[in-house]
Amino acid sequence: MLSQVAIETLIIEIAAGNKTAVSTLYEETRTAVYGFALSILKNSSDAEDVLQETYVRIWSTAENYIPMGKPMAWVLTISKNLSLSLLRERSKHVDMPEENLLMDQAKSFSVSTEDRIVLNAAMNELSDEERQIIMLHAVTGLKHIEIAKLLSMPLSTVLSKYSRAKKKLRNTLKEGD
Amino acid sequence: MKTSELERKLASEISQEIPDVLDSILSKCEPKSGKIIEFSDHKSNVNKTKWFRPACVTAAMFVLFVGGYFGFAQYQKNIIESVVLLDVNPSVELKVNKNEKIVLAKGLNKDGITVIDKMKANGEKLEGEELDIAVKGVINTMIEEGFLSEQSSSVLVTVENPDDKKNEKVKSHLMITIHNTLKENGIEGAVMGQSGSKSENTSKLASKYRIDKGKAELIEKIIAKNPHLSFEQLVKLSISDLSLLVDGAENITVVGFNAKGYVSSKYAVDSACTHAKVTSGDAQVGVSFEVSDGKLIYDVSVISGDNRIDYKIDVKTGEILKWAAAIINDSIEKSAQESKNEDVAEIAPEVPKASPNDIIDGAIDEVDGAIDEVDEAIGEVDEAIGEAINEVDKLKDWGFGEIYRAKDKIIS
Repeated sequence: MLSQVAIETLIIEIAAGNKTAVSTLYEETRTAVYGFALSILKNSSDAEDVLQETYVRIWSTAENYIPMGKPMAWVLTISKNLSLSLLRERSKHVDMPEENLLMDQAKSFSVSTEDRIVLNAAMNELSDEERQIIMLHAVTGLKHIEIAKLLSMPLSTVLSKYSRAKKKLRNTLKEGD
Repeated sequence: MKTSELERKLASEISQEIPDVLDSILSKCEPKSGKIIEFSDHKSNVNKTKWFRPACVTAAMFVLFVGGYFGFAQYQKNIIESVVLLDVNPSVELKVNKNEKIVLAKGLNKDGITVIDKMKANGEKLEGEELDIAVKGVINTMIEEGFLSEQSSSVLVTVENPDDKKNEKVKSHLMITIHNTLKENGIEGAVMGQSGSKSENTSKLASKYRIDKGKAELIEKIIAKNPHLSFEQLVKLSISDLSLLVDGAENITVVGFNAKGYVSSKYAVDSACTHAKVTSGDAQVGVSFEVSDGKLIYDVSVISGDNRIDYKIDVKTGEILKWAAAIINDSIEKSAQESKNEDVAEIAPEVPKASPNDIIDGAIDEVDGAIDEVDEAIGEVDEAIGEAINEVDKLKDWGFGEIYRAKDKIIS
């Protein structure tokens, strides 16, 4: 992934109306944005919507970004807010039962390559917070303290949940062997 | 499984899952409009004739239109849309506008600067020239200066353009242009084409080894296909040498091949079999590329019965540089008489020896195990810290509660 300085430069370019900068930012950060959205929503189709909307939102609000050396946290906060708002909307308007979510995952994550097994385990075996923490650490490169700030959690909670998540994933993989 | 591996697998699977929604995003990005300045509606008391204001407005609009047109044209002319890197050994960078005209041309290494300077000295002005013509000019100058010849005849073209379709179009067109230019000069060469990436790692490697990004990216692609080769080894090779290794590498297109300057792998195998006094039909023969002392070589193994002979053969001359014989016995290779240009008949292998690869593998396993243990320990420490902080928080709350209760008791 690009350095924080490079991402910040791209956001400034976007604020100035440079669409190529949107493409570059998308290419370099989409794994983090999609992974984080998926960890909150547990639904690939919703995560795709959030992925799309995040960059459209970045385009329209880049002027409001204040360079403080933490552009990735800003991008992920947009992704988090959109995901949470979509979750709220779903709970209000569409009564999507848990089985549907699981069916969606089963459809999307059924091929059993080893990488896929790890993702399946992350989706099915971890609690919401554990999944978000491990996903943020794996796909965004954020440090625990940054994850704690992003998720508004104490650092201690992030550390213990991260450890527990790792153990759970390892155990699931051992059982699968 | 190590934590880093666990997380790498998770990230890798996520990256494969992501749908490509870039087009849809870009279509939703409305052009950014500037602030609308509203003219105030108050009436002026200044006594002016009725025609004065419309005339001023018309004149201003005319000036704005003419100035804007020429200003915009100049601005458009200088906007860089594509960057083309030409690599032979000289490296040349061409920055191109959307009309496919050169905005900037520069040499990226000493030989590249020589090529550009030579063109300038010949009165060839690259800036403002059509990309196609400029590339032809650069290739012709490289031939005149001896950088491209029958022996060294490969060119790498790297095109960076945000629009994938345009990128592909420019790249294909330039590859054919270069191939034809080489042919016109009687050179049969391999022209490799790739799309430039924006990877920061590639840029770092390019800067570390003082090569351009195109060559760095080519080497990364070759290593992805040939993990036994390293960046340090490949960076010393010429583009022509590297062109022999691109077979099977992803996202590299090749037109033509090096007709001269290298012996074929078949020649190397035949040469090894003749030396080993076997026919290729009677023996098991394997051939691969290796880099030794900054030179690309064929590594040919000839196995006949219990005998195995490994040859190092120069890819350029076909000369057997080195050979080593061993007897294969119950999967234990016994070494080895090593020689240069001696007869194979007098092989006397006796001393059993673990292969260096076995030793390295064993060491890697041990290090992996140690890393796992450290990783587990860190995980437990993390968890312990988390729980300890929680306990301290609880104690703090409890402590203050107790203090307040005690204070209340005393007061009452």
